[in-house]
Amino acid sequence: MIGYIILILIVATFLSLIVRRDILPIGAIIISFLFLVFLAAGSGIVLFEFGGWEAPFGIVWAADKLSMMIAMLVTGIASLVAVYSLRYIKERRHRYYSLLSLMTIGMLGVSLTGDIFNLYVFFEIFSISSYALVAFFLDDYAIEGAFKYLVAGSFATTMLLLGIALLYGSAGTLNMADLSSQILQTPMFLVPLALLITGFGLKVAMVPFHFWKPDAIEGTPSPIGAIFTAVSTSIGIYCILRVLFIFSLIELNTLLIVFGVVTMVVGAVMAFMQDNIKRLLAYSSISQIGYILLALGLGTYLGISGGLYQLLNNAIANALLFLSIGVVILYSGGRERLSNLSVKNNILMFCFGIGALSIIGIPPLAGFASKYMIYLAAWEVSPPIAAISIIVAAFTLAYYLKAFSCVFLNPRGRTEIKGIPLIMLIPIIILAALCIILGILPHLGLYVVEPAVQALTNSSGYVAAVLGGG
Amino acid sequence: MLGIFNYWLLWVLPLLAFTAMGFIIYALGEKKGKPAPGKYETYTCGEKFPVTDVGHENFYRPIKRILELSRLRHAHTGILSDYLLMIVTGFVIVLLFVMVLI
Repeated sequence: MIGYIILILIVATFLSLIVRRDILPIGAIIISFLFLVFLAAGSGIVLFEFGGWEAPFGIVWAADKLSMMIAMLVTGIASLVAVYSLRYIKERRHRYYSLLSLMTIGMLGVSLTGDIFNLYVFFEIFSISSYALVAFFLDDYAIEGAFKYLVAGSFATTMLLLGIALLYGSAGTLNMADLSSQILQTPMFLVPLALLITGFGLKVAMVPFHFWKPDAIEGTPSPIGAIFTAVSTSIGIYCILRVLFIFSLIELNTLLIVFGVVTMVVGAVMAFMQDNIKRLLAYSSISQIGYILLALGLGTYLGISGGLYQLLNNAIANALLFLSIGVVILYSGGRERLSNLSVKNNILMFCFGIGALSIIGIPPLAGFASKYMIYLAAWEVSPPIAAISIIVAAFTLAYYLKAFSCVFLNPRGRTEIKGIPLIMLIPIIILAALCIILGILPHLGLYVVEPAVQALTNSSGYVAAVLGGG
Repeated sequence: MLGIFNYWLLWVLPLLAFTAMGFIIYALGEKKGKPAPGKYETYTCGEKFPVTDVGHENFYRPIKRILELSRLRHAHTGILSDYLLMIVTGFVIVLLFVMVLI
């Protein structure tokens, strides 16, 4: 069934270009999300062998609970963004939706494939469509942002390709499960590993590979900003986790902790100094990625659970913030600077406030549940790191307070927003409701996260399922 | 693991506090006062300060200056070759980490 999901999306993407109907890619993305929810309800690992060729000779897609969680996140957020964009994007809509659908195919392929070269191919599909989407508005900011992203992204994909080629040269296979059983930790293996981590790290935008992200987001349409900050980084983190856990490289935890702490601090400090709301949100998302990397690097069960839960909550809250700000910018005539962006609308103010409080980690919202788990896990491993993460949360509160105050509480030059289309409000309200529900009932979120943690920590089960044919 | 969320006070107290604060602020806002003609301030005695408007640029200005946070900002030049240099530096750092840790 996994193969059909991608097939539906591919057909819808190209058909929409020919018949110029937006509904095709929107429908395909929503259907793929529903299919994945249905698949995730089953137990075990879902396998799909292309052309009936068994692993490791053929290309295999293997969806365990971690892949399912990421795939559902990708299609879920993409569905909401697709619906929201119906009123946001006014021109060349069929191209926009084809690119959005292609981007979803890329991210979905990355999260579901069990073949590392296939992963590279889908990574390229995702990257190329996202370059075009960043440049979609074709103004100076969009083109410059897209160009910088293109160059950084090309660096990333070249490093990935080189790393994969070196791995294939030394192990003679591209199947990830097979690679894990053949890889010896020799010096020959170290360079491809560093190349893969750098390549994925660029996509994650962890410090010092983060420079492209605020520049790209500044010029991109707000719904695509939501995809970038919410799910595109999740894909990069998923790839790093796959590489580290499937190759049993637990020794590299320290690397994740160091990069996590630096990313968290630099992202927060940079967000603190921003005047442009989109750049502020971009740096904020970089800071939140630091929390996820730190939690995953802690290596304890609580840490990994907190990290994956934070990944889920971060995606929801970031999407909420970008979609809310998208409406604000749209109705303010494209103004993005905090100095002249002042609006009055209670629903947007409430939803933005919920997203910001969730990202900061204020109870009883979703972000608190995951951050609380991260603080506890960090305290067990190293109290100073726990203290740093709490101080960064205080910085987060400071810059969101500034953003909220400037955008919604400033009485000077205020634009009153009236008559927001329902089709734009519904995705925002759904995301805000999720922030509240997952905060009050964290058990619901952990119901999705815990099987993913078990799948991640038990990589032998994944290897056995893929090589044994399920 | 779900046990960590069983400290119900952790959830209920902030929720109750925020709700109570919300109601109080709302009730105070609804209350219509009757100011005397020409009276615009609640309190007329005390030292007088000019009304200041803190612009977006001045938010947290002392913190920014004391911690010299602008140094970090200057590293984000927007120049592509600087970014690429950081990518290469980052790769070397990752490689060193991998070589030391494994």
